[in-house]
Amino acid sequence: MVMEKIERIIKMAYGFFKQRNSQDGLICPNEEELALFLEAKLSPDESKKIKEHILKCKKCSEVVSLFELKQELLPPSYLMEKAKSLVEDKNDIPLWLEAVIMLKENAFSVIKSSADILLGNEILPLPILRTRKIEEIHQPVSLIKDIENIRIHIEISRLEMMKIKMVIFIQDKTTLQPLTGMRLSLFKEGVELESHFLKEGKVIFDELKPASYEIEVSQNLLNVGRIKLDLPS
Amino acid sequence: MDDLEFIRNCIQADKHAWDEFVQRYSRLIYSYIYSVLKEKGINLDTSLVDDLFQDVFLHLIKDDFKKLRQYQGKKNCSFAGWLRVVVINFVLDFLRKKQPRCVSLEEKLDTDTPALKDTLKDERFALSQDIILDEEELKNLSDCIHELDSEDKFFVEMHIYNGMSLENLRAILNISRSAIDMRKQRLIKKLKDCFQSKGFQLEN
Repeated sequence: MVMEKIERIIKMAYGFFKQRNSQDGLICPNEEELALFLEAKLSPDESKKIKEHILKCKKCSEVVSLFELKQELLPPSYLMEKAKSLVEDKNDIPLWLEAVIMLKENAFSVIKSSADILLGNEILPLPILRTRKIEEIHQPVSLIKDIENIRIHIEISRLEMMKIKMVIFIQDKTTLQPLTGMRLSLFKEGVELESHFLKEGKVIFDELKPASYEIEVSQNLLNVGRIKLDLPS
Repeated sequence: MDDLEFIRNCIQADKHAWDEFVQRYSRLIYSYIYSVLKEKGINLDTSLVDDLFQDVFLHLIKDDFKKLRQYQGKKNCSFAGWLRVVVINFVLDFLRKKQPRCVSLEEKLDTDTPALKDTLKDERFALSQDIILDEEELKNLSDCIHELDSEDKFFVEMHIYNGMSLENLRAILNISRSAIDMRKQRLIKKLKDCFQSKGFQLEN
Protein backbone atom coordinates (compact mmCIF):
# COMPACT_ATOMS: atom_id res chain seq x y z
CA MET A 1 0.00 0.00 0.00
CA VAL A 2 1.36 3.36 -0.96
CA MET A 3 1.34 5.73 1.94
CA GLU A 4 -0.34 9.02 1.33
CA LYS A 5 1.93 12.02 1.15
CA ILE A 6 0.54 13.55 4.36
CA GLU A 7 1.23 10.29 6.21
CA ARG A 8 4.81 10.29 4.96
CA ILE A 9 5.27 13.83 6.21
CA ILE A 10 3.78 12.87 9.59
CA LYS A 11 6.13 9.88 9.71
CA MET A 12 9.17 12.12 9.10
CA ALA A 13 8.02 14.66 11.67
CA TYR A 14 7.36 11.85 14.15
CA GLY A 15 10.81 10.35 13.55
CA PHE A 16 12.36 13.76 14.24
CA PHE A 17 10.24 14.15 17.39
CA LYS A 18 11.00 10.61 18.60
CA GLN A 19 14.75 10.97 18.20
CA ARG A 20 14.60 13.82 20.68
CA ASN A 21 12.10 12.29 23.09
CA SER A 22 13.28 8.71 23.60
CA GLN A 23 14.93 7.84 26.87
CA ASP A 24 17.31 5.09 27.88
CA GLY A 25 17.40 3.16 31.12
CA LEU A 26 13.66 3.17 31.75
CA ILE A 27 12.07 0.47 33.88
CA CYS A 28 10.02 -1.55 31.44
CA PRO A 29 6.76 -3.38 32.17
CA ASN A 30 7.28 -7.13 32.49
CA GLU A 31 6.23 -9.53 29.75
CA GLU A 32 2.90 -10.34 31.35
CA GLU A 33 1.96 -6.67 31.70
CA LEU A 34 2.86 -6.03 28.08
CA ALA A 35 0.86 -9.09 26.99
CA LEU A 36 -2.16 -7.90 29.01
CA PHE A 37 -1.86 -4.50 27.35
CA LEU A 38 -1.76 -6.10 23.90
CA GLU A 39 -4.79 -8.22 24.74
CA ALA A 40 -6.67 -5.10 25.93
CA LYS A 41 -7.13 -6.59 29.41
CA LEU A 42 -5.84 -3.64 31.46
CA SER A 43 -7.88 -0.88 33.04
CA PRO A 44 -7.87 2.46 31.16
CA ASP A 45 -5.43 3.90 33.73
CA GLU A 46 -3.02 0.96 33.54
CA SER A 47 -3.25 0.98 29.77
CA LYS A 48 -2.49 4.72 29.64
CA LYS A 49 0.65 4.21 31.74
CA ILE A 50 1.90 1.53 29.34
CA LYS A 51 1.17 3.73 26.31
CA GLU A 52 3.11 6.60 27.85
CA HIS A 53 5.99 4.26 28.59
CA ILE A 54 6.02 2.91 25.02
CA LEU A 55 6.18 6.47 23.65
CA LYS A 56 9.45 7.01 25.54
CA CYS A 57 10.94 3.53 25.29
CA LYS A 58 12.33 2.38 21.94
CA LYS A 59 12.67 -1.20 23.15
CA CYS A 60 9.03 -1.68 24.18
CA SER A 61 7.79 0.19 21.12
CA GLU A 62 9.74 -2.25 18.99
CA VAL A 63 8.28 -5.28 20.81
CA VAL A 64 4.72 -3.99 20.43
CA SER A 65 5.20 -3.14 16.76
CA LEU A 66 6.37 -6.71 16.09
CA PHE A 67 3.31 -8.24 17.72
CA GLU A 68 1.39 -8.40 14.47
CA LEU A 69 1.88 -11.73 12.76
CA LYS A 70 1.52 -11.65 9.00
CA GLN A 71 2.09 -15.30 8.31
CA GLU A 72 1.73 -18.53 10.30
CA LEU A 73 4.32 -21.21 9.78
CA LEU A 74 4.54 -24.76 11.04
CA PRO A 75 8.05 -25.89 12.00
CA PRO A 76 9.38 -29.14 10.51
CA SER A 77 8.47 -32.17 12.64
CA TYR A 78 12.09 -33.12 13.39
CA LEU A 79 12.53 -29.77 15.17
CA MET A 80 9.46 -30.41 17.28
CA GLU A 81 10.73 -33.87 18.21
CA LYS A 82 14.06 -32.31 19.23
CA ALA A 83 12.24 -29.78 21.42
CA LYS A 84 10.18 -32.55 23.02
CA SER A 85 13.34 -34.45 23.92
CA LEU A 86 14.56 -31.50 26.01
CA VAL A 87 12.39 -32.73 28.89
CA GLU A 88 13.00 -36.34 29.81
CA ASP A 89 10.47 -38.82 31.03
CA LYS A 90 10.46 -39.10 34.81
CA ASN A 91 9.94 -42.83 34.49
CA ASP A 92 13.34 -43.00 32.80
CA ILE A 93 15.00 -41.75 36.00
CA PRO A 94 15.86 -44.75 38.18
CA LEU A 95 13.80 -45.20 41.32
CA TRP A 96 16.45 -45.54 44.03
CA LEU A 97 14.30 -46.16 47.00
CA GLU A 98 10.66 -46.55 47.85
CA ALA A 99 9.14 -46.74 51.30
CA VAL A 100 5.80 -46.46 53.08
CA ILE A 101 5.99 -45.49 56.74
CA MET A 102 3.03 -45.13 59.06
CA LEU A 103 3.29 -42.61 61.86
CA LYS A 104 1.71 -43.77 65.09
CA GLU A 105 1.09 -42.12 68.44
CA ASN A 106 4.68 -42.49 69.63
CA ALA A 107 6.21 -44.76 67.07
CA PHE A 108 6.76 -45.66 63.40
CA SER A 109 5.63 -48.68 61.53
CA VAL A 110 7.43 -49.59 58.32
CA ILE A 111 4.73 -50.87 55.97
CA LYS A 112 6.87 -51.23 52.88
CA SER A 113 10.52 -50.55 52.10
CA SER A 114 12.88 -51.33 49.27
CA ALA A 115 15.70 -50.17 51.57
CA ASP A 116 17.14 -51.90 54.62
CA ILE A 117 16.35 -50.55 58.06
CA LEU A 118 19.02 -49.55 60.55
CA LEU A 119 18.15 -50.79 63.98
CA GLY A 120 20.77 -50.22 66.66
CA ASN A 121 23.93 -51.30 64.91
CA GLU A 122 22.20 -53.77 62.65
CA ILE A 123 21.08 -53.17 59.10
CA LEU A 124 18.05 -55.37 58.51
CA PRO A 125 15.83 -56.00 55.53
CA LEU A 126 12.11 -55.54 56.22
CA PRO A 127 11.24 -59.29 56.13
CA ILE A 128 13.80 -60.00 58.92
CA LEU A 129 12.24 -57.22 60.97
CA ARG A 130 8.86 -58.88 60.46
CA THR A 131 10.10 -62.31 61.51
CA ARG A 132 11.42 -60.73 64.69
CA LYS A 133 7.94 -59.30 65.22
CA ILE A 134 9.22 -55.75 65.42
CA GLU A 135 6.04 -53.93 64.41
CA GLU A 136 6.62 -50.60 66.09
CA ILE A 137 9.86 -48.65 66.21
CA HIS A 138 10.18 -46.04 68.92
CA GLN A 139 13.41 -44.31 67.95
CA PRO A 140 14.25 -42.38 64.77
CA VAL A 141 14.30 -44.78 61.86
CA SER A 142 17.01 -44.95 59.19
CA LEU A 143 16.58 -46.42 55.73
CA ILE A 144 19.74 -47.48 53.94
CA LYS A 145 20.21 -48.52 50.38
CA ASP A 146 23.25 -48.90 48.12
CA ILE A 147 22.90 -48.20 44.42
CA GLU A 148 26.05 -49.12 42.52
CA ASN A 149 28.73 -46.99 44.20
CA ILE A 150 26.30 -44.67 46.03
CA ARG A 151 24.91 -45.04 49.53
CA ILE A 152 21.57 -43.40 50.29
CA HIS A 153 20.76 -43.01 53.95
CA ILE A 154 17.48 -41.42 55.06
CA GLU A 155 16.98 -40.65 58.72
CA ILE A 156 13.39 -40.03 59.73
CA SER A 157 12.54 -38.67 63.14
CA ARG A 158 9.18 -37.89 64.55
CA LEU A 159 8.46 -34.35 65.71
CA GLU A 160 5.39 -33.40 67.74
CA MET A 161 2.02 -32.70 66.02
CA MET A 162 2.36 -35.47 63.44
CA LYS A 163 5.31 -33.86 61.72
CA ILE A 164 8.55 -35.48 60.72
CA LYS A 165 12.09 -34.41 59.99
CA MET A 166 13.93 -36.13 57.18
CA VAL A 167 17.70 -36.01 56.80
CA ILE A 168 19.08 -37.45 53.58
CA PHE A 169 22.73 -38.44 53.29
CA ILE A 170 24.21 -39.31 49.92
CA GLN A 171 27.70 -40.74 50.06
CA ASP A 172 30.25 -42.75 48.21
CA LYS A 173 29.53 -46.36 49.26
CA THR A 174 33.11 -47.31 50.09
CA THR A 175 34.66 -44.08 51.40
CA LEU A 176 31.39 -42.68 52.86
CA GLN A 177 32.50 -39.27 51.57
CA PRO A 178 29.72 -36.92 50.40
CA LEU A 179 29.25 -36.76 46.64
CA THR A 180 29.74 -33.42 44.92
CA GLY A 181 27.35 -31.47 42.67
CA MET A 182 24.27 -33.21 44.12
CA ARG A 183 20.97 -31.34 44.32
CA LEU A 184 17.87 -32.72 46.02
CA SER A 185 14.40 -31.43 45.18
CA LEU A 186 11.44 -32.32 47.35
CA PHE A 187 8.02 -32.75 45.74
CA LYS A 188 4.78 -33.16 47.68
CA GLU A 189 2.00 -34.65 45.59
CA GLY A 190 3.72 -33.45 42.41
CA VAL A 191 4.43 -29.89 43.60
CA GLU A 192 8.04 -28.87 44.20
CA LEU A 193 8.47 -27.59 47.76
CA GLU A 194 12.21 -27.17 48.25
CA SER A 195 15.46 -27.77 46.49
CA HIS A 196 18.91 -27.82 48.14
CA PHE A 197 22.48 -28.67 47.34
CA LEU A 198 24.02 -31.45 49.36
CA LYS A 199 25.93 -29.70 52.14
CA GLU A 200 28.34 -31.62 54.35
CA GLY A 201 26.97 -34.77 52.81
CA LYS A 202 23.35 -34.16 53.81
CA VAL A 203 20.13 -32.29 53.10
CA ILE A 204 17.49 -31.68 55.78
CA PHE A 205 13.77 -31.43 55.07
CA ASP A 206 11.99 -30.26 58.18
CA GLU A 207 8.43 -30.30 59.55
CA LEU A 208 6.87 -32.54 56.93
CA LYS A 209 3.27 -33.60 57.45
CA PRO A 210 1.90 -36.98 56.37
CA ALA A 211 1.67 -37.02 52.54
CA SER A 212 3.23 -38.62 49.47
CA TYR A 213 6.71 -37.26 48.83
CA GLU A 214 9.15 -37.69 45.99
CA ILE A 215 12.75 -36.53 46.10
CA GLU A 216 14.55 -35.97 42.82
CA VAL A 217 18.31 -36.19 42.93
CA SER A 218 20.30 -34.44 40.24
CA GLN A 219 24.03 -34.25 39.75
CA ASN A 220 25.49 -31.47 37.63
CA LEU A 221 22.00 -30.64 36.27
CA LEU A 222 21.24 -34.22 35.21
CA ASN A 223 18.57 -36.20 37.04
CA VAL A 224 20.24 -39.30 38.41
CA GLY A 225 17.69 -40.87 40.72
CA ARG A 226 14.48 -40.47 42.69
CA ILE A 227 13.21 -41.51 46.08
CA LYS A 228 9.53 -42.12 46.89
CA LEU A 229 8.37 -41.83 50.45
CA ASP A 230 4.77 -42.30 51.43
CA LEU A 231 3.63 -41.21 54.89
CA PRO A 232 -0.06 -42.15 55.08
CA SER A 233 -2.05 -40.17 57.61
CA MET B 1 -7.65 -27.35 32.31
CA ASP B 2 -6.76 -23.65 32.14
CA ASP B 3 -3.47 -22.23 30.86
CA LEU B 4 -1.94 -21.83 34.31
CA GLU B 5 -2.76 -25.38 35.37
CA PHE B 6 -1.32 -26.72 32.12
CA ILE B 7 1.90 -24.70 32.54
CA ARG B 8 2.20 -25.92 36.15
CA ASN B 9 2.15 -29.49 34.88
CA CYS B 10 4.91 -28.64 32.41
CA ILE B 11 7.02 -27.08 35.17
CA GLN B 12 6.89 -30.35 37.09
CA ALA B 13 8.73 -31.88 34.15
CA ASP B 14 5.66 -33.96 33.35
CA LYS B 15 6.83 -35.52 30.10
CA HIS B 16 3.31 -35.90 28.73
CA ALA B 17 2.49 -32.23 29.45
CA TRP B 18 5.78 -31.10 27.90
CA ASP B 19 5.14 -33.01 24.67
CA GLU B 20 1.71 -31.40 24.54
CA PHE B 21 3.32 -27.99 25.18
CA VAL B 22 5.68 -28.43 22.22
CA GLN B 23 2.76 -29.59 20.05
CA ARG B 24 0.58 -26.62 21.05
CA TYR B 25 3.06 -23.75 20.88
CA SER B 26 5.59 -24.72 18.19
CA ARG B 27 3.66 -22.95 15.45
CA LEU B 28 3.45 -19.73 17.47
CA ILE B 29 7.16 -19.79 18.41
CA TYR B 30 8.38 -20.65 14.92
CA SER B 31 6.11 -18.06 13.25
CA TYR B 32 7.23 -15.24 15.54
CA ILE B 33 10.93 -16.03 15.16
CA TYR B 34 10.51 -15.97 11.39
CA SER B 35 8.38 -12.83 11.47
CA VAL B 36 10.74 -10.82 13.73
CA LEU B 37 13.82 -11.75 11.68
CA LYS B 38 11.98 -10.82 8.49
CA GLU B 39 10.77 -7.47 9.85
CA LYS B 40 14.32 -6.70 11.00
CA GLY B 41 15.62 -7.42 7.51
CA ILE B 42 17.74 -10.40 8.53
CA ASN B 43 18.76 -12.86 5.88
CA LEU B 44 16.43 -15.77 6.52
CA ASP B 45 18.47 -18.90 6.30
CA THR B 46 16.58 -21.77 7.86
CA SER B 47 19.43 -22.87 10.14
CA LEU B 48 19.18 -19.56 12.03
CA VAL B 49 15.41 -19.97 12.47
CA ASP B 50 15.92 -23.61 13.52
CA ASP B 51 18.63 -22.72 16.06
CA LEU B 52 16.54 -19.94 17.58
CA PHE B 53 13.56 -22.31 17.76
CA GLN B 54 15.54 -24.72 19.98
CA ASP B 55 17.03 -21.82 21.94
CA VAL B 56 13.58 -20.45 22.82
CA PHE B 57 12.56 -23.81 24.34
CA LEU B 58 15.84 -23.99 26.25
CA HIS B 59 15.33 -20.40 27.44
CA LEU B 60 11.91 -21.43 28.83
CA ILE B 61 13.10 -24.52 30.71
CA LYS B 62 16.65 -23.75 31.86
CA ASP B 63 17.38 -23.25 35.57
CA ASP B 64 14.43 -25.41 36.53
CA PHE B 65 11.90 -23.68 34.22
CA LYS B 66 12.83 -20.23 35.55
CA LYS B 67 11.35 -18.37 32.57
CA LEU B 68 8.20 -20.48 32.31
CA ARG B 69 7.59 -19.93 36.03
CA GLN B 70 7.34 -16.19 35.40
CA TYR B 71 3.98 -16.70 33.71
CA GLN B 72 1.41 -16.03 36.43
CA GLY B 73 -1.79 -15.80 34.41
CA LYS B 74 -2.76 -12.60 36.25
CA LYS B 75 -5.90 -10.77 35.09
CA ASN B 76 -6.57 -13.71 32.83
CA CYS B 77 -3.47 -13.08 30.72
CA SER B 78 -3.43 -15.82 28.10
CA PHE B 79 -0.33 -17.97 27.94
CA ALA B 80 -0.10 -17.51 24.17
CA GLY B 81 -0.09 -13.71 24.62
CA TRP B 82 2.71 -13.95 27.20
CA LEU B 83 4.71 -16.35 25.04
CA ARG B 84 4.48 -14.01 22.02
CA VAL B 85 6.11 -11.20 24.00
CA VAL B 86 8.77 -13.58 25.34
CA VAL B 87 9.66 -14.85 21.87
CA ILE B 88 9.83 -11.33 20.37
CA ASN B 89 12.06 -10.18 23.24
CA PHE B 90 14.26 -13.24 22.90
CA VAL B 91 14.87 -12.72 19.18
CA LEU B 92 15.47 -8.97 19.63
CA ASP B 93 17.97 -9.69 22.43
CA PHE B 94 19.71 -12.17 20.16
CA LEU B 95 19.95 -9.55 17.40
CA ARG B 96 21.25 -6.91 19.83
CA LYS B 97 23.98 -9.22 21.07
CA LYS B 98 25.08 -10.09 17.56
CA GLN B 99 27.91 -7.99 16.20
CA PRO B 100 26.52 -5.19 14.07
CA ARG B 101 26.81 -6.30 10.49
CA CYS B 102 28.11 -3.94 7.84
CA VAL B 103 25.55 -3.51 5.09
CA SER B 104 26.46 -1.79 1.89
CA LEU B 105 24.11 0.93 0.74
CA GLU B 106 23.59 -0.91 -2.54
CA GLU B 107 22.93 -4.33 -1.01
CA LYS B 108 19.41 -5.65 -1.03
CA LEU B 109 18.78 -7.69 2.12
CA ASP B 110 16.13 -9.78 0.45
CA THR B 111 13.66 -9.35 -2.36
CA ASP B 112 11.01 -7.73 -0.18
CA THR B 113 13.11 -4.98 1.36
CA PRO B 114 14.61 -2.17 -0.65
CA ALA B 115 18.30 -1.39 -0.57
CA LEU B 116 19.37 0.76 2.35
CA LYS B 117 19.96 3.82 0.17
CA ASP B 118 16.29 3.73 -0.90
CA THR B 119 15.15 3.28 2.67
CA LEU B 120 17.19 6.26 3.77
CA LYS B 121 15.82 8.28 0.89
CA ASP B 122 12.11 7.97 1.50
CA GLU B 123 11.70 6.62 4.99
CA ARG B 124 11.93 8.03 8.48
CA PHE B 125 14.53 10.72 8.47
CA ALA B 126 15.50 11.47 4.96
CA LEU B 127 13.96 13.09 2.00
CA SER B 128 12.00 11.60 -0.84
CA GLN B 129 11.89 13.11 -4.27
CA ASP B 130 8.58 14.93 -3.76
CA ILE B 131 9.03 15.97 -0.14
CA ILE B 132 11.91 18.24 0.72
CA LEU B 133 12.15 19.36 4.31
CA ASP B 134 15.01 21.12 5.97
CA GLU B 135 15.75 20.69 9.65
CA GLU B 136 13.99 23.93 10.58
CA GLU B 137 10.79 22.75 8.87
CA LEU B 138 11.02 19.33 10.49
CA LYS B 139 11.40 20.96 13.87
CA ASN B 140 8.30 23.07 13.26
CA LEU B 141 6.30 20.03 12.19
CA SER B 142 7.51 17.99 15.14
CA ASP B 143 6.13 20.75 17.40
CA CYS B 144 2.70 19.72 16.10
CA ILE B 145 3.45 16.14 17.18
CA HIS B 146 4.56 17.42 20.56
CA GLU B 147 1.17 19.08 21.08
CA LEU B 148 -0.76 15.83 20.60
CA ASP B 149 -2.03 14.00 23.67
CA SER B 150 -0.53 10.60 24.47
CA GLU B 151 -3.45 8.67 22.89
CA ASP B 152 -2.88 10.43 19.57
CA LYS B 153 0.89 10.10 19.81
CA PHE B 154 0.46 6.39 20.44
CA PHE B 155 -1.70 6.11 17.33
CA VAL B 156 0.93 7.90 15.21
CA GLU B 157 3.76 5.84 16.67
CA MET B 158 2.07 2.49 16.08
CA HIS B 159 0.20 2.99 12.83
CA ILE B 160 2.09 5.65 10.89
CA TYR B 161 5.61 5.35 12.28
CA ASN B 162 5.82 1.58 12.95
CA GLY B 163 3.34 0.55 10.24
CA MET B 164 1.00 -1.49 12.44
CA SER B 165 -2.26 -2.29 10.66
CA LEU B 166 -5.42 -0.50 11.79
CA GLU B 167 -7.02 -3.88 12.44
CA ASN B 168 -4.29 -4.88 14.89
CA LEU B 169 -4.22 -1.48 16.56
CA ARG B 170 -8.01 -1.57 16.86
CA ALA B 171 -7.74 -4.86 18.80
CA ILE B 172 -5.08 -3.45 21.16
CA LEU B 173 -7.11 -0.31 21.81
CA ASN B 174 -10.30 -2.37 22.07
CA ILE B 175 -12.35 -0.05 19.86
CA SER B 176 -14.49 -0.66 16.77
CA ARG B 177 -13.21 -0.49 13.23
CA SER B 178 -15.31 2.59 12.47
CA ALA B 179 -14.05 4.30 15.63
CA ILE B 180 -10.44 3.78 14.63
CA ASP B 181 -11.06 4.95 11.05
CA MET B 182 -12.65 8.09 12.48
CA ARG B 183 -9.76 8.63 14.86
CA LYS B 184 -7.32 8.42 11.98
CA GLN B 185 -9.24 10.96 9.87
CA ARG B 186 -9.59 13.35 12.80
CA LEU B 187 -5.90 13.03 13.70
CA ILE B 188 -4.68 13.61 10.16
CA LYS B 189 -6.90 16.67 9.85
CA LYS B 190 -5.61 17.99 13.17
CA LEU B 191 -2.00 17.57 12.06
CA LYS B 192 -2.69 18.97 8.58
CA ASP B 193 -4.20 22.10 10.15
CA CYS B 194 -1.28 22.42 12.53
CA PHE B 195 1.28 21.96 9.73
CA GLN B 196 -0.47 24.66 7.71
CA SER B 197 -0.56 26.99 10.69
CA LYS B 198 3.23 26.62 10.83
CA GLY B 199 3.31 27.88 7.26
CA PHE B 200 3.80 24.48 5.65
CA GLN B 201 2.08 24.29 2.25
CA LEU B 202 0.40 20.99 1.48
CA GLU B 203 -0.40 20.91 -2.23
CA ASN B 204 -1.92 17.67 -3.53
